[in-house]
Amino acid sequence: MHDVLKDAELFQGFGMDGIRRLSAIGRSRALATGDYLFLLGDSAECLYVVAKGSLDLCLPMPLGGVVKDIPVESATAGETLGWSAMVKPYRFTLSARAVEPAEVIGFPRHELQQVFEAAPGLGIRFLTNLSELVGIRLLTFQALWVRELQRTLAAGTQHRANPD
Amino acid sequence: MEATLVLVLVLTILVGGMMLALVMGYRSIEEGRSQLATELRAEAGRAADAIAIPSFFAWVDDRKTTLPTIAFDDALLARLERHVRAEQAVVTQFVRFPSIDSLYRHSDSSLRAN
Repeated sequence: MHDVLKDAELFQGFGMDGIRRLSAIGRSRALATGDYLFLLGDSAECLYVVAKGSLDLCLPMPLGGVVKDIPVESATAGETLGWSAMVKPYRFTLSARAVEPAEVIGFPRHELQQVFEAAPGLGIRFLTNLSELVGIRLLTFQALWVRELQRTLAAGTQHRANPD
Repeated sequence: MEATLVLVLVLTILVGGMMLALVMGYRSIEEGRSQLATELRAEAGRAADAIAIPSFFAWVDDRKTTLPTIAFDDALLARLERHVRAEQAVVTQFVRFPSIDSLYRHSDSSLRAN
């Protein structure tokens, strides 16, 4: 577990002492292909780091009376899943599904908070890394949205110009 | 007696004047509202024309007659996943090196039916 955590994006700069503290509270969980780690709307009690394999983060899309989960992002070894566990209202906003046999390490929110209360320096480092991840996610989805908006406008203009 | 008549006359004129002022005021407010609503509708119509977004009122008949009913199947799901991944790859470049060019770079992926 040490190796996975020291290479994890969320725990960069933690040092050996920090990694040791995290290892003490981390719980490993194996997933088979197609297994869901969590579902959109579930209570978010744990933050996860992918140790092996790959998981898709999905949003549901209804079409023709059928609802399917559409992958909008993937997470592989060392990447973080479920930071909704660290921010109110503590509900997952996406579903996570294994696309191959995978293993994740879960960190219960309350135990993480205890670690950071005991070692505030780790808490600051953690929040800095987490802010970076959240910022990237925000920017990514803003960019995806504005690209789609631009295409919708272009298609509308084209339709007006050439309705047939 | 005459004083009473004069008083009644004055009161009648006063009350009548107040009623008239109230009615005129009400009509003025209603006309203002009606004009504002007309302007807002016209403005909304102009905005819709200007941005040319496919709109329910403008295209509903076209859609009913020309678009087939879309339902999920494996091919559509695969195409959707490919599209999202292609878009993600392009947007990742934008996140690393933000510019207008990288934001609107084509991903060679489209969901539009051929």
